[in-house]
Amino acid sequence: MPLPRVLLKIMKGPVIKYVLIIALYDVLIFSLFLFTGSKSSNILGWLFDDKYIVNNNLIYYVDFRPGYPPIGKLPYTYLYNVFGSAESIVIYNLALADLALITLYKLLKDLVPRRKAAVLTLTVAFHPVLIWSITSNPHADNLALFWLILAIYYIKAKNPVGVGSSIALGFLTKVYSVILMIPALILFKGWERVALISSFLTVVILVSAPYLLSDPLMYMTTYLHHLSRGPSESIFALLDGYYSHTGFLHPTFEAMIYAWQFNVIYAPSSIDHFRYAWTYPQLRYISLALQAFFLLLFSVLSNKMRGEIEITKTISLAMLSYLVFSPFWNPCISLPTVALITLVMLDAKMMYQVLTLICFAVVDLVHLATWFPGTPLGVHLGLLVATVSRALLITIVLYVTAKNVG
Amino acid sequence: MRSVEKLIRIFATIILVALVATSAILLLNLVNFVKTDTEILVSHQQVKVGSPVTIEVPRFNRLDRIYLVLNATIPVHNITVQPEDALIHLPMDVEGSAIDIAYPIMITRHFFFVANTSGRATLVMHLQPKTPYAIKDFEGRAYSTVFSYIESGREYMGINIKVVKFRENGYAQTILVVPFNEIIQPDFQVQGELKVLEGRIAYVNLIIMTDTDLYAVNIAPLTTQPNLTINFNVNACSRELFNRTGEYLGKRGVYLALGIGLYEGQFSADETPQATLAIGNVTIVNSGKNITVSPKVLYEYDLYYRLYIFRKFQPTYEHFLLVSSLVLEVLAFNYIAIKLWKNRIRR
Repeated sequence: MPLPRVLLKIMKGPVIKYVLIIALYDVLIFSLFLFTGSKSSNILGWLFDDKYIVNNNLIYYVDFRPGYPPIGKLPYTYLYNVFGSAESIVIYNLALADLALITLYKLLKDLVPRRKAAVLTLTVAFHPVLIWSITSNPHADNLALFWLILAIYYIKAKNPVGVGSSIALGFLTKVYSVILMIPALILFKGWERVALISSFLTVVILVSAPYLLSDPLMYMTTYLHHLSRGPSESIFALLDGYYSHTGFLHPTFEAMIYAWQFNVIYAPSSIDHFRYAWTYPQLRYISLALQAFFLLLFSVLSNKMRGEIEITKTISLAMLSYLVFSPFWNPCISLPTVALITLVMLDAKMMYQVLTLICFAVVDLVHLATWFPGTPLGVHLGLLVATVSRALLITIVLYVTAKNVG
Repeated sequence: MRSVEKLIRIFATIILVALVATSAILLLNLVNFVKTDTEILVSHQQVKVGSPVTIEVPRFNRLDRIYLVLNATIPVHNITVQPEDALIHLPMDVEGSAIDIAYPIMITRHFFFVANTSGRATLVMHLQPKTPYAIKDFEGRAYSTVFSYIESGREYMGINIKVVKFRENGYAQTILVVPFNEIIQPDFQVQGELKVLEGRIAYVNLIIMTDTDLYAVNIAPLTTQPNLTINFNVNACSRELFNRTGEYLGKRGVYLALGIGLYEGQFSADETPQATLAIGNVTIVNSGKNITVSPKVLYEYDLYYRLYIFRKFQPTYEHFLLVSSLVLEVLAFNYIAIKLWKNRIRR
């Protein structure tokens, strides 16, 4: 066959089509960053801890605990050190978002018609929180989203090694993926379960080995310091009277001591997010109880499901329960929520699904707006509107899901 | 075939037991270290301005962290270590900014050191008089000194601000902070008096910091003449810089501050950008209560401090051995687990 015809055949093939769509998406988002985001976002400013460790010759997880585990943090440190430009970070974020979207599309395509899968993936791709996360956020949210979707994909594919490994990599990126271990442990039986646990442990221990050798306590602090943090921008935060984002600032050098040593310095306070004293401590337990109850309920239910769609839906619901009832919410948390909502409503009509995702996007925009001073609703009313609207939307999603199951 | 699988299962069980034992020993060693990894010294010293203050740091090991928290309102411009190379002083940094505007350290001074050697050390400081306000750089960097100023038999707190570095926007701002942890009520008002003694100011603002927002009301403009007494009264009707009035009512106040701004453009290149102000009584009214911040400057006072010695974990040969064993055991167990799972699938 002559070369032009071969090329034409490849061009007409689905792979090229997908590559072109991804390239177009990347060009669009990167242009958006160049024309708007690069001026307004302070993407390098968020990497103040990288600046501090570089200036003072410190080593992450040995001298200094960052806010994220190694797979989530170190690529950004590398980009900051080598390129030191916002563009390099946005390109990395774009590549990760592409990976997450491709995986989401692959998962959806296995479960619903190709057209529906494509429309839903595109709706997620243009969700404002994902765009914000690509263009303005030097944190591991896109990569964490990728591991989460991959873990759900492997659950659907009944591959415990794939599930254990992707959950472990998610845990080493932004911790929350580890929640999926609970439904996975219930779903897999016998040697599948053993393979799941051992793959998870192997990946976690192998990646963590250098830090476990050097200073396991500093490494553990990366995970443990989150435990003393307070609520933020959730219904629980508002009920407790806490309206701030992630709290007042602390000196950067406090990341050079262990979590329990940090707790010795500060008495808990209702205005210090990093050492928080709940005004109504019951709220913390209510949040935890709701998370645990619904997580276990949907995990057990997933065990009773037979079809791939039902299993994917209930697993996504289990994960969603953890996020929805979390005392900590911000637009970064919206990112996995949007993907999970897409999976939870798999058998709803496509129009309803797209409409719901658009409604979530509007709520997230209202939420994002509260971060900037001088917005019409202000912090208090803005957060209240976003939180209540989100709760209503989630109730509608659950109603539609339950109706379809019924 | 069955007997081979049985053997593999026995082998897996042995590895699992070894894995649990290694983890337990490792954990026990770490727990034992954590039990004694913090030493706290709470003490105080009589400060006489002009004489150095020394704080002894008891025995520490290399890489231990030494954290000194001074209950001092005024900036400490110099702190030295003896012997010089015993401790490395880490710079103050709050999310990328060298300015120590951070809650909850607004009214304390924090110093962080990493032990460069094992041994003992002495920290030597020269302190300024004690004031009712915590003085902090808010924008840019300034060298502030305080003194007692008496005029017509009335006492004022004098403050001289020399700007070391202006921010990119050309401004430097020093704030004089008083803590205020109350819900702001409709009767809220702040009254007081101040005067510019010399130099030039860009503004003096009264800052109301709530748990979510900062409100700044201008009380002395750029045109303020030297030695002119300014009496101010800020209340819910006062318009702040973003044209908001009383938006802070019902919110939780965290602190109040006088923000003194200097502008680079007001000074010629060969001139030291500076201003000297005198602050009189400031009265805060909220919820029917009156609090007066007296401008008293103390040249002799008690300095309370807390010194933390945080031990840093130092890996031993035993630790290396345990972690290496753990890695090998997990790898071996995982290999067997996957083999057995795949065998099941084949069947």
